Amino acid sequence: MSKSDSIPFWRPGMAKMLPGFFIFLTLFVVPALIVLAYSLMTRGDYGGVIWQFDIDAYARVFGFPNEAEMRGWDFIYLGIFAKSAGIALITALLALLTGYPVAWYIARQNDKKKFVLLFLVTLPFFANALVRVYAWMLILRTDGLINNLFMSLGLITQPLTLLYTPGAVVVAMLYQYLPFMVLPLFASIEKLDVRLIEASQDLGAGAWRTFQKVILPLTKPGIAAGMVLVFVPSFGNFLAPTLIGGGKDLQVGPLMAQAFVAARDWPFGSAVAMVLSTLVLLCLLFMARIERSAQGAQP
Amino acid sequence: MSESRSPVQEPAPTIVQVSAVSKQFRAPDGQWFQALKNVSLNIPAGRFTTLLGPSGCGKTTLLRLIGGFEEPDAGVVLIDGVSMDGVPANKRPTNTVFQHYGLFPHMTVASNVAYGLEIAGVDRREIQRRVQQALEMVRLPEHGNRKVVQMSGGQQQRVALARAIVLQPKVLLLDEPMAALDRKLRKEMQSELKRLQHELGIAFLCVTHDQEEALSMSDLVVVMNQGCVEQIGVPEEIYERPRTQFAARFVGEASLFKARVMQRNSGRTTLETINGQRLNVDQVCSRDEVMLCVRPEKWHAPGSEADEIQVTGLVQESTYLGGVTQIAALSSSGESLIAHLPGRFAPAKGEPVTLACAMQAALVLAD
Repeated sequence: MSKSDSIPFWRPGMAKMLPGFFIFLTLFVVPALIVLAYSLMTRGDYGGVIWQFDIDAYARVFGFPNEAEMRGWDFIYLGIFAKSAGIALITALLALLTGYPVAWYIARQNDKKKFVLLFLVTLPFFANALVRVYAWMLILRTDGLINNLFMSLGLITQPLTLLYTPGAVVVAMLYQYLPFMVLPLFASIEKLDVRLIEASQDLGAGAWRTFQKVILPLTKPGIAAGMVLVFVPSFGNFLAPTLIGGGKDLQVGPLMAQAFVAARDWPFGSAVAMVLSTLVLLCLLFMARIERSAQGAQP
Repeated sequence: MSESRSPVQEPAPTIVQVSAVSKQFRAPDGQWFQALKNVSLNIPAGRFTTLLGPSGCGKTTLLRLIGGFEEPDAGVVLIDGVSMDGVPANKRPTNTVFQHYGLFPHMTVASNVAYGLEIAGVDRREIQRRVQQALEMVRLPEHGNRKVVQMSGGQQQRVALARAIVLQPKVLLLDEPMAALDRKLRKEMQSELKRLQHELGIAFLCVTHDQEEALSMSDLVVVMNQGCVEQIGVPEEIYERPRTQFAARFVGEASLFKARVMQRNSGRTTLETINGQRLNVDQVCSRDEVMLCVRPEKWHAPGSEADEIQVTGLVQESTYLGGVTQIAALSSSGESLIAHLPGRFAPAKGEPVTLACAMQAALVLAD
């Protein structure tokens, strides 16, 4: 089949897309272009930018040496990207492991129960993200819920250091973004024809092989969507690493915030934001590809 | 006729033994529904057996019990002498062709057929050989690389068949395999299935609600109704000698009318029809009133033979079927009669008609 070249650019009905297109243009494209422009300018001493083209911000992000400023190779910022990506990936994987059984269970209920359970899954969204992060601080801190419980049960004598650890950051983000995993997984699992599971059993496959060879491939679009939807906001997260991580390890989100607020280095902050956005776009492309390849398999 | 029957009459060993199996389900409204009531049945090895009955008669439940997709509430299923109690579907020597085919949409035709072999850990080259062989058997030798979704309904059915037979099961279970096919394809697949069964020598157990399909394909027909087996027999037996009212009505068409028992002596019974005609049958009838069954083509216009039963009725409808005319009539005692009379014979609606048949054509039903 020939690709998009056979589809005319303007088709009837496209007028309906105009409001959406307008919102996308003004609230996404224009701001993104402004950030892009800032990232390519020279830093102003008291914040803001001097309108003079400079790619030094990117050079610093990628750690290129700069003789004029007496900088050698320095991968500290790439390291921050890698670390943030690692934590986000762990969060996404844990969300997958915990979200899959939940989504599976919900998808197998009757319609009435499904509705209630899906509502419960989205319930955390009704509270502000900041409130939810504070709640986790109360749970995890030295005289918090967990430590008090364990101490009173006599399981521990000294409070555990739970707060201000990378693990705590992962837990808080996992809690925050789990619905983003459960919802697309639910959509995928609900579409799955359960009769295929019987067919697989009939051909001699046990539960694990059936999961591996039939269920997993057919719910791949949901897995990909859930992974990306959890990974992306975790990657650039600001609240959790700052409040729960205690800002001990610098991550991409706080790094950006610091560049603008503390260091008054707008081009650098913008460059970090652009690199982050590019990585996120790549993730979305990856998701779209998996979804397209799975579409060929839909009956 | 009964002497010149096909060679299927020689007894075959039993491959599936269903003994005293019961199963009930809970309907969405909370009511319990008895799908199978104490069913016992032997399925012969290497033969084509059909479970025939209307929807809800328990035939599919029975198939699923044998395949291991349901567990019986009571009773046991033995396959090749081994109890299947607690044996899951994936450990049973059965394979199923599902009504919905159940083909894996994310795999090619060849991977679908290879699936079971891969699970069984068969050597890669052996898999390739057997997959090709199976695809040739279902006449799809060139379609291995196709995506399942690119295949027509009839082709998907063949892939499902290939996928099931490639594992050489002891019993092949077919759940309404033709239900989704159009009439022409169905005819084609019927003879195809029969041919495959013959070539493979595997026991086929097929569920259908289509009596014509059952009669034309099977070596053995099991007629089921309301969770019970009504009759088991070769197709000729089912048609020529239905045991129960249900079997008589469900398989082919039949005129049923009452007769009274007049006299019993040593295995023979004398009956009297409503018209006051007497006939002797070689059967013991314990009840005082029995039901007689006559197949439509057994009727003829009244002649002069002495051992003839005659029934009079009013014509309800007469339809020329080409070669024969089908007459639906209501007897004077309120029973509906159906007869195929040769030639174009068209009594008007409401006209009286007298139908006659030989005494031995009237069968005494068990209920």
